Amino acid sequence: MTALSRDVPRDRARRTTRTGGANGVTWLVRRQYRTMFCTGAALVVAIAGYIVWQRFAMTGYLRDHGIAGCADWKATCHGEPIPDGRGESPVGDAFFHISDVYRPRILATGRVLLALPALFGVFVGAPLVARELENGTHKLVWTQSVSRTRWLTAQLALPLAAVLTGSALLSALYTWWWRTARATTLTDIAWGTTVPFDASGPAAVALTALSFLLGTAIGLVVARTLPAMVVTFGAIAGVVYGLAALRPHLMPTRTMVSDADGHFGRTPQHVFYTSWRGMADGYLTRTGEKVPGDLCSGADSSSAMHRCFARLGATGRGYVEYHPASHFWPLQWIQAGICLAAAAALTVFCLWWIRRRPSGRATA
Amino acid sequence: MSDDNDGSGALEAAGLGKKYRRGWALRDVTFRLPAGRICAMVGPNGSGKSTLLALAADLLTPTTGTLRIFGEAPSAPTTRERIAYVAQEKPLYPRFSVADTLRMGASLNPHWDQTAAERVVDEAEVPLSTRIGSLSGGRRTCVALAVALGKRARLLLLDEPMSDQDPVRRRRMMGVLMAEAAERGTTVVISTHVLAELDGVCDYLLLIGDGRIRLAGDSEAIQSAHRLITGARDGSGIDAHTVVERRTTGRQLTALVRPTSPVGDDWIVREPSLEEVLLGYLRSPEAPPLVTASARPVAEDGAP
Amino acid sequence: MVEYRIDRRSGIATYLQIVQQTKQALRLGLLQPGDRLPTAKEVVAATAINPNTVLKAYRELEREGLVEPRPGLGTFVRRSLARPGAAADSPLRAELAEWADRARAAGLDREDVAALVTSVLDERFGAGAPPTTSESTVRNGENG
Repeated sequence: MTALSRDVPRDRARRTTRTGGANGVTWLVRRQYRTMFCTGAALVVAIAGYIVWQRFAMTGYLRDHGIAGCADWKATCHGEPIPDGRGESPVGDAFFHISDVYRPRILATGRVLLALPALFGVFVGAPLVARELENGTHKLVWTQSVSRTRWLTAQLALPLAAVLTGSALLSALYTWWWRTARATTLTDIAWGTTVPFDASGPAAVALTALSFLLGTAIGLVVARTLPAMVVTFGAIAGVVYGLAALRPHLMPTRTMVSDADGHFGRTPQHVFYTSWRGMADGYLTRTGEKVPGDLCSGADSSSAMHRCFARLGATGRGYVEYHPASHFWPLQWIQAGICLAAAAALTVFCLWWIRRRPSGRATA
Repeated sequence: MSDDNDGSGALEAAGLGKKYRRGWALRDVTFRLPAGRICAMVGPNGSGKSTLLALAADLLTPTTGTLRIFGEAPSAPTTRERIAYVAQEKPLYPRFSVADTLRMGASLNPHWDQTAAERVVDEAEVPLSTRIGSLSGGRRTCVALAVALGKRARLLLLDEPMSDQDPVRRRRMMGVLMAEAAERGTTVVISTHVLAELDGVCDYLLLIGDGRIRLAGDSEAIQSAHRLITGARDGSGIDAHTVVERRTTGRQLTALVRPTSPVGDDWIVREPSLEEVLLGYLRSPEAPPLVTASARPVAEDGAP
Repeated sequence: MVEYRIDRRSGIATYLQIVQQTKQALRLGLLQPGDRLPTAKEVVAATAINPNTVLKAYRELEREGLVEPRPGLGTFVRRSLARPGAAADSPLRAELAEWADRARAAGLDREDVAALVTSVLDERFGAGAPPTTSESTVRNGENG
C-alpha cells in the first residue's frame, strides 16, 4: 500500500452517495428550473381553464338560443330564416352576439398562445446556456464527472418535454374551441393566418420546440444573456413572419372562378365559406390567363383601375385562389414537420458546438 | 506513494501553447508534475496561470502542444472523474442553498463523498441551509472547495483558492486540503500570486511569467540549486555561473546565481530561501529558466 | 498523543520541528513505547502543512529507531528517550526550576540564562551546537 495512506485506519466507513449518472443531471435541471416549471404550469392551467370555460359558455349560448349546428352563411337555421341585419330576429341577433363577443376573445387568446413560444424561447431558451457562460457556472458544471454533451442533452430535453406537454394541451384546447366556433358561425376567421393557425394543432407545438432551440443555439453562440434574448426575439418573429409567407405555398392552391358579373355562385357555398382565401385574386383574360389584382393596386380611382385592367386584357370574370377546409390538417402537419426538422438541426448544432468549442473566453 | 509516481505524471505538458485573439497566453510550456505532490503555481496576475489550469480542466483547447493528466488527454471521460477544478471566480449557482450545491455535486459525480464535502463546509462554519448568493466571497470559496473535495478527485486544480480568505479560514482550509492529500495521496495544484500563502504547504513549484515556465520542479531542488553570493563590486568569476539577478550597493555586489562549479573563496555564500529565489526571478524577467530533473517530461522511450 | 506546533518564522525546517518535538515528548515521557503517533492526516489537518513533510519527519524518526510503522495501523513508538531523571516530575527538573527562579531573582533575563546554560553544557558535554540547529540554518526556509 502507499506510504501516504499507510497510517490511515481502515475501518472507517465513508458515506458515499452513488447518485451520479443520468438521474443526476436530471436533478440539477429540475432544481435549476424549479421556479420556472411552477410558473409555467400555473400559466398553462390558467389559460387552459379560460379556454374550457369560454368554449362551454359559447356552446351553451348557441344551444340556449337555438342556433347550435347552424352556420351564419346559410339561409336558414332549423327552418328559421337568418336575416342579414341586426335587430330583425332573435336568431340573427344571436349570430351577431357570437361574432361580437367570442370572435375577439378567440383572436386575443390566439395572440396570447402565439406569444407563449416566443416567451419560452426568449426567457428559457436564450438564457439556458448563455447565463452559464456569462456567470462562469459552466466552469463548475462542465468540470464535474458528467460530460457536457450529457449535460446539454438533459438541459434541452427536460424543459422541452415539459413545455411541449403544456403547448400540446393548450393548442389542442384552442383548436377545439375556435373550430367549434368557426364550423357554425365565425366564417370571417381566416384559418390560415398566423392567428389562429400558429396557435393551433401540431404547428403550435412544433413552433414551441423551434423557438426554444433557436434561443438555446443563439445563447450558446452569443454567450451573453441579454443580447441573446434580444436576438432570439427577433429570430422568432422572423420565423413567424417567414412561416406566414410560406404557408400558402406549402400545398397547391385551388382556384374558384366567378361569372362574368363577378358572382361566385358556381362554387358551392360551404366550400367558399369554409375555405381560406386571400392569398391571391384578380381577373381572367379572355383566354383564361390570370391577371393578379395587385398589378393594378397603384390606381388611385376606380376608373383608373378599370382602365388598368382593360389594358391588361382582363374581363369581368374574377378568380380567387384558396385552400379548401380539407387542407387545414395537411398544412398543419407540413408546417410542423418543417419546424421540427429545423429544431432537430439546431439540436445537432448545439451538441456539436458545445463539444467542439470549449469556452474560449480568457480569464488569465 | 502511488503507482503513478513511476508511470505518467499527474500533469504533463509538452510544448503547450494557448493563443487568444489578443496574443499568446502560454507559450512552449513543458514540465511534469509527479503524482502526490502539492504544487504551488506562482506568477504575477495575467501570467497564464488560469489559462494553464483551464486547459487542464478541458475548458480550453490548446493551440499548440499537448497536456496529459495521468497519461490521458484532458477531454478523456476518465480524466473528468479524476480532476476537480475550482475556477478563479469560484462560480456557483447563487440561488442554490449550500445543501443544494452539495447535492449537485452528488448528482454529477459517481464517487461523491458527502462526508468529506460536509466537513469542509463545517470547517468554514457555513450552515447548509444558507443560500449561496448571501455568502461572503471567502465562504463561497469554501463551498466551491467542498464540491471539489467531495468529488474524490486524484488531481485538484485550484485557481487562487486562498486569495479572499482571512488568515484563520485560510489555515483551516489548508488543513482540510492537506488532510485530503495525506489520506488519499491527492495531487494538488494551487495557483497564487502570493507565495507566502503557501508557506510550508507546497513541495513543488511552478513559476510562470509572461506565459512561459521560469522555474519548475521540486522546491528543495530549486532552492538548493541557487546561492546568494556577496562580494566586491568588480568580483571576478561570477559569470562562470548562471546569474539570475545581480544588484550593487556601493562597492558591494549581491547576486542570485545557479553555481556551475564551487563558488570562489572571495564570496560570502549562503543558500537563499525559496521566497528569495522567487523574488529574484520575478525581478529579472530575462533570467534563464530552470526545470529540475523531476519536472522534466519522461522521454518517449520510457527513460526519465 | 503529541500535538505539534509549527512555527513558520523560526527558520527551522518544518520536518525538523516535528522530529524535535517528538523527541522532546519522548524525553519528557509524554510519549511512551507502544503509543501511536498522530497520522499524517491528523497532523496536517491541525497544522496545514504539507503531508510529505510529516512523512519525512516520521521516516527520520524511524531511521533513528525511535518509531516503527505498522501497516494499516499507524506509526508507533518503539523506544523511549526518557531517562528516569528527565521525566517531567523528576527531582532534577525540580532542582533546575528552583535554580531558574534564583537566576531570575538575581536579575538575569531569558537570554542571559540560556547563554549561561549553553556555556555550562558546552563545558560538561562537549562543545558544538546541537546538530539540529546547525542543519536548520542551512535549510533555512525550505518546506520539505
